[in-house]
Amino acid sequence: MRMIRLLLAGLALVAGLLAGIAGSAAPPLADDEISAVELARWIADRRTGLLLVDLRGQAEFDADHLPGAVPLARVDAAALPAADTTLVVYADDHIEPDAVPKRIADRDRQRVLRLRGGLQAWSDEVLFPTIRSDAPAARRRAFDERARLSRYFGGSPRVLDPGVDIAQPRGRRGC
Amino acid sequence: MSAPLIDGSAALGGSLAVAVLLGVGFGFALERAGLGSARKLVGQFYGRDLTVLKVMFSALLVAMLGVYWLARLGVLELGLVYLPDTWLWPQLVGALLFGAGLITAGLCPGTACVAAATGRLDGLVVMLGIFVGMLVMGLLLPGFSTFFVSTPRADWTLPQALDLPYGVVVAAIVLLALVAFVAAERIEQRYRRCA
Repeated sequence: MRMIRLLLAGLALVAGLLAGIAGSAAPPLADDEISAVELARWIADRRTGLLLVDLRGQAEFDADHLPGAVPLARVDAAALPAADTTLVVYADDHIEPDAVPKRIADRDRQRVLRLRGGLQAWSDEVLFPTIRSDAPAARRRAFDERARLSRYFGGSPRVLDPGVDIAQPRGRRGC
Repeated sequence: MSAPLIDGSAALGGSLAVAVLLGVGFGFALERAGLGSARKLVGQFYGRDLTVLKVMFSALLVAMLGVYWLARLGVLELGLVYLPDTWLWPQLVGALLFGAGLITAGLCPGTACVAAATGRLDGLVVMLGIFVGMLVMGLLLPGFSTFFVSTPRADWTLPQALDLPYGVVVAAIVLLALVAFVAAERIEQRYRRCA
């Protein structure tokens, strides 16, 4: 019994220490993924060779799409320009690697990235980032950059006032 | 796959069925750990039996590490997990009242159900007291409704309050728990020597 307790305590300790090293609970980005905030920075910096490809249908694309994106139907994979082109594909939500169309995925010359969280992440993290009104000063300073990015794309950064915004139950957004 | 497996869009019947299963499991675990006994619960406060601390803190560790690592591995989407809101002072006062009631009754709501289910009369009496208390609370609530919703903090978490990364808080709680377990064993041994 004592050995079992020691083993369990050891497992908990290892899991806890690894958590301390890992820090955030968000899964790390895969090699072929990009976060919405990082993509927003690329677009704002007018990164060369960047092509955004919308994997949804034409109707969804017409309703809303990322700035500068083109629908998949209009992408001629064979005519894609230089080897340093970076394709970023996205949908409404997160897409798995096997959901990337083969004619785009099988490109040796270009780098293909998936937007983590899709348009939903773009909305939550770029257009409408949120910070609590009681957040520490350092966190609010870091949020200022996100707020500038949000306004650049026509979004609206939000400050959550705990005293006002307890209208409905919410899930937790990132820790 | 992304949990929770039963999200807000699930049919009510399915959600309730899962809730019943989880409740049965919870009650079973409490009963097997002996927490249906008022003596064991009250022993916590006299330093003679810290089973409650060890059982509950162990459960907390399993849940905390499970949630963290499932989220980190992409199995659990934390944003879909409901987080109750915090009202700081009302909940602190409520916790003090709860503690006073626990020491007086020797049982808390969950263990009172377990005790009642195993035929203990004190469990039944405590459950009756809980329902009476809920009724009285409902009748008196308009009188202190302002205090009841004061000091709101929304969905406040320890990482937010301490401004530390989630994983660091997890590591700190694991260390705290292990220290608490060792201390609990020492306290119980000292009690047994003195008894």
